[in-house]
Amino acid sequence: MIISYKLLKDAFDVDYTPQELSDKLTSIGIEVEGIRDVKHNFKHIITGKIVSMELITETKLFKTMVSIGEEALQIITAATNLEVNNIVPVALPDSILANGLAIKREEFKGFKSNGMLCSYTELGLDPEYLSNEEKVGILILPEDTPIGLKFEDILPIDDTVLELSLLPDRADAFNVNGLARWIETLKARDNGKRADFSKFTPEVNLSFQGETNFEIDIKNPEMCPFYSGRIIKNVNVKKSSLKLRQKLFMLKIRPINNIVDITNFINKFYGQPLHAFDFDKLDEKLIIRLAKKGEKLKTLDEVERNLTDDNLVIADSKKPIAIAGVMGGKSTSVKEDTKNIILESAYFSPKRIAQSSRTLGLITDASTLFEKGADSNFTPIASLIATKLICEETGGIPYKDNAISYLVKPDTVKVRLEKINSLLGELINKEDVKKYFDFEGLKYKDKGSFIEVYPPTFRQDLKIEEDLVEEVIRMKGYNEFRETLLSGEFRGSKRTEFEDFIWFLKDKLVALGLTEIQTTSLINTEKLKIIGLDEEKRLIKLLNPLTEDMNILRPSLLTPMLDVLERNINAGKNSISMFEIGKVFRKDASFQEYMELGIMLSGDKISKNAFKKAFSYDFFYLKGIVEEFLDSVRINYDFEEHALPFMHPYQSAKIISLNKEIGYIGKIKDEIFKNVFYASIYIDGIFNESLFLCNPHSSSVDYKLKNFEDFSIYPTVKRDIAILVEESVSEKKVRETIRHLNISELKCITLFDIYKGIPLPKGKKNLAYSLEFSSMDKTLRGEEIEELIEKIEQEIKIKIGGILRKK
Amino acid sequence: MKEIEEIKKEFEEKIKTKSIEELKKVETHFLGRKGKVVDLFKTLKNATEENRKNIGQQINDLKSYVEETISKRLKELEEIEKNKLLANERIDITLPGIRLETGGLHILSKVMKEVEDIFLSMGFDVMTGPEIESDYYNFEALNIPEFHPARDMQDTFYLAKKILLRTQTSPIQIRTMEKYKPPIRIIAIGRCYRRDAIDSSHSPIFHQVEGLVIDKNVSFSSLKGTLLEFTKKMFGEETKIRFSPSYFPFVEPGAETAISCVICKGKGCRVCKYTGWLEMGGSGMVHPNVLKNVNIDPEEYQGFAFGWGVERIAMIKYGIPDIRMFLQNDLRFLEQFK
Repeated sequence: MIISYKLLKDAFDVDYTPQELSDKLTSIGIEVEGIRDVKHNFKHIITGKIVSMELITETKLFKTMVSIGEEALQIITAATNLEVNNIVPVALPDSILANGLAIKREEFKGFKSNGMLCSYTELGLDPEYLSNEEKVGILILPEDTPIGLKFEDILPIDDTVLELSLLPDRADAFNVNGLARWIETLKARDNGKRADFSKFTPEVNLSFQGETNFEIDIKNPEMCPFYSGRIIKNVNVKKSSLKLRQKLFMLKIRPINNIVDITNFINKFYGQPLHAFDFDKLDEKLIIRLAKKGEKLKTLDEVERNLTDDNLVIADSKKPIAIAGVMGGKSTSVKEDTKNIILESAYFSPKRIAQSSRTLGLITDASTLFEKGADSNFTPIASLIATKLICEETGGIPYKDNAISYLVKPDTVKVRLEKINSLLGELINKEDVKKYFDFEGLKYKDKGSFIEVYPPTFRQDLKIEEDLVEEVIRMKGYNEFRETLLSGEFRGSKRTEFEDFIWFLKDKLVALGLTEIQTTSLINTEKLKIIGLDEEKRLIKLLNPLTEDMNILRPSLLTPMLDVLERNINAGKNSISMFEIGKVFRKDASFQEYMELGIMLSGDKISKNAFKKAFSYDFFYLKGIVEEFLDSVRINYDFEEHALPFMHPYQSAKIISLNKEIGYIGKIKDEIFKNVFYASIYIDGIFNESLFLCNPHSSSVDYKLKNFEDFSIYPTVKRDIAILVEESVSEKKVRETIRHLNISELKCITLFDIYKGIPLPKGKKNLAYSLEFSSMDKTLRGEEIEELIEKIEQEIKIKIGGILRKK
Repeated sequence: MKEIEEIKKEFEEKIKTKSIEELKKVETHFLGRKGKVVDLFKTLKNATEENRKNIGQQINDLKSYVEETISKRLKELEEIEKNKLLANERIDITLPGIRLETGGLHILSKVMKEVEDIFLSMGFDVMTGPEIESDYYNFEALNIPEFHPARDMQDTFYLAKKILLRTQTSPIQIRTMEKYKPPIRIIAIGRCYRRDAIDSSHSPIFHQVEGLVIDKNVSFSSLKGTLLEFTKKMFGEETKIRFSPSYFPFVEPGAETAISCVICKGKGCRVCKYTGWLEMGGSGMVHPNVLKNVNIDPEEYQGFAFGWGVERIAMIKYGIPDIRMFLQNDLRFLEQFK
């Protein structure tokens, strides 16, 4: 909310400086985000009246005579929105406009022009707060504006503007009157006195022509506990007078016509939304009821609204004519030709208005106020104030309102001193508590073991004991409390098992030389199509995406990681080795989220250098990382050749553990991205515990340090062997054939060469291994090793038809 | 003896050689079987009885001298030779080293870990929870019923009716209180989503850390004490905190917490908008309705909760100017925090 300091000062005699006021308001929860000085930037602009006006032949210019009091000036203008008797701002010769332009006497087509008529831009006015007419061409002022006066005295621009950021429960500060009441509380606190709010409820004296004899029927009293309808006859709807225009200007309200302007003024100044119906467009009664599904209403903004029973409406005997507390209907709205009106001042339930406006997606000034909570006691007073203004402004004749009330007094709230002390952790004596309530002008009774508070209707934030504890903090000051440390028993100081596991994995991956990234979880469907991951029925779409670029939850880390790769390559990076551990989302039986690991390599581990020792990432480097990683969590795994839509069909595999797929690995297809290797591991698959909130004080997964295991003190003996097998036999098969012999002395089998071609027979390959033997009990002798190698030779021959050659 | 002098003179000339090969020849020349020194011994028999001993002594001295000198010279020459070989292997030690791609954690991970470690040291458990949440856990149970205006503060991404992306980590508070009986002392940390337009300080995807403490004597003072301790550990001993009134439906009383600007030390700078204070997040005493929703009796237990943004903490602590950098993963950014 933006509020004029000048207005507060003039209307409520505020003597704090803007800065003091801001600090004090902020300290009690009405945050002033900014203070802005506004100055008029023009000079010598006065009001003038057009006394005559004629088109200069064969031009588009008008010759006007403008009276500025004693004298009249000839001014040439090209404006087309003027008529005789309009009062307009006149820039005299030697004046300066808001944009810095200096005005001189000039001649157009031989006619002298002694100044210039101004539009709002030349005055530097904010178009936000001007009527549509005021923004077209020359600014036309209300017809009762005196002439020959300085423009800045007519519409006082010079001001200090406070920008308030109001909390949702601070409904009582969303209007000028309510804000001033809080300033009164500040004064009371400064003076150590009880706040007196009486001046915030003005007395209005009106004499009425008679009763409003018009039926009002409230069908849902819990949604509309108070409704007042008042007939005002013989209104003259037109532009607001200067006096009202000035009020609107101070409150930054855009003028429409005098009646609408007054309702808007009451809304902003007193926080009571009002609505005026054209009485002659109504049939015999007003009914406040829920809309029926299928009912429609064209609202003031010309939109045809489809109503449901979420919406409370004001209806005549046949159809809705307004959406209660949200927006009026077009057909019964006040127009230039309206003669008689019914003025509505009502209190609607905040919940219902919120529901109604939110389901319609229609949030208005009125709905905003109603859903925060208007002041029900003020509702009838607002009607009186508005009526008085309407009669003054339009010459209307007021009638006594027809008011129906189901209002009940707000519940009293009890607050115990022990509760205050226990919640605040500080001993506060009862007299101080009462003093704080006095500052806020609260009525209360000391009942001995508790204080009973009678919250005023404008304090909708006081409903329970804790609310009153907050008032104690508010008045004492949020920073006037000591700081204590926590004491007492706690279970604490553990991460969940799963979180511990994730940190372990991250550290492991960093140790393997990878850089962690964290990417967006909201991605675009198109990207997935490119890589063939757009399995429609498993994607989770947002119902209300911020942009189409972020319309689904990522089903895989691959696409956002490719985006990161691309970004970095474009930034000139040519190598990247990164990983992400994050949630991926898929629709299975329900919406599911899974923790996934993605590893992406591209470019060089060691880039080209002077020593000819460059090393590029490839499939087997990535496989090595994956193996190291899986070894560290001590699970059994296996790689199976497997083509994926986005992978090179012959350089990709799935990773299997205990017959379950736990990930995949491969080279991304060149047409998607050149020279990229990617592996994905399903973390949930290797962590067989429930994902969420597992007990931090139990253990389940096996990755922590193990107990010491003894190793041999005798020398290790190495032997190289070569095995000639059919090319179709996988290397793994050969290794496992040896492994399955379970030779306890054989500690390590390392493949160090693969050879195909001449002089080997066609269809054969030669695999060279280095074998390491050692024993826990003794130094192994040559013959013993020979025996073991013979065993291997036999096995290779029988099981896979291979020939072993010793070196 | 004249010959001895001559031989010595000749030796001293020849020993100057710079080649090991030459030196070997010199050795043979003087000390070989037919060498000059050996030859001298043959002259002994011609010497007189009384001179023989004397001359013999002199020849022996000469022999020792030659032997020692050659051996010394050999060592010298060998040393020179070895040095020559080493000099051939000289490298330009100013050449750049061979660099590997090395790893590192994302700055958000580092900051989260730092935050977690501080709270762990203060006796808190660390909890996580799902990012896809129900309306109940994200709003209802937290005293934010449907159509509540407070929902405006957290514009929400919906996946289906009543299913959404969590806008805060508070649902974890509810899940924790449903599962464990007080005393409770936890932080909940993780990724959250709000339908906020993107700019340098707003991102629809961000991370939050929330604290929840439920016990019999937990108070507004202990909330202040806890946040002050965290602040000092995170941002330095001299950092101060300031509370101001605020409103969150799940706490009452509610407060906003600011810390003294760590950049200008409270003097006022661009980052703190010349206020000397940086707003960090909301806090307050857990609303009795929230406790009732998880069957904790508000007359028996009370508690406090607070929620801060992880990105905000990181941006302030490390002077990061734009929240978008976190998810962009430009290596020029990430590598600064390896």
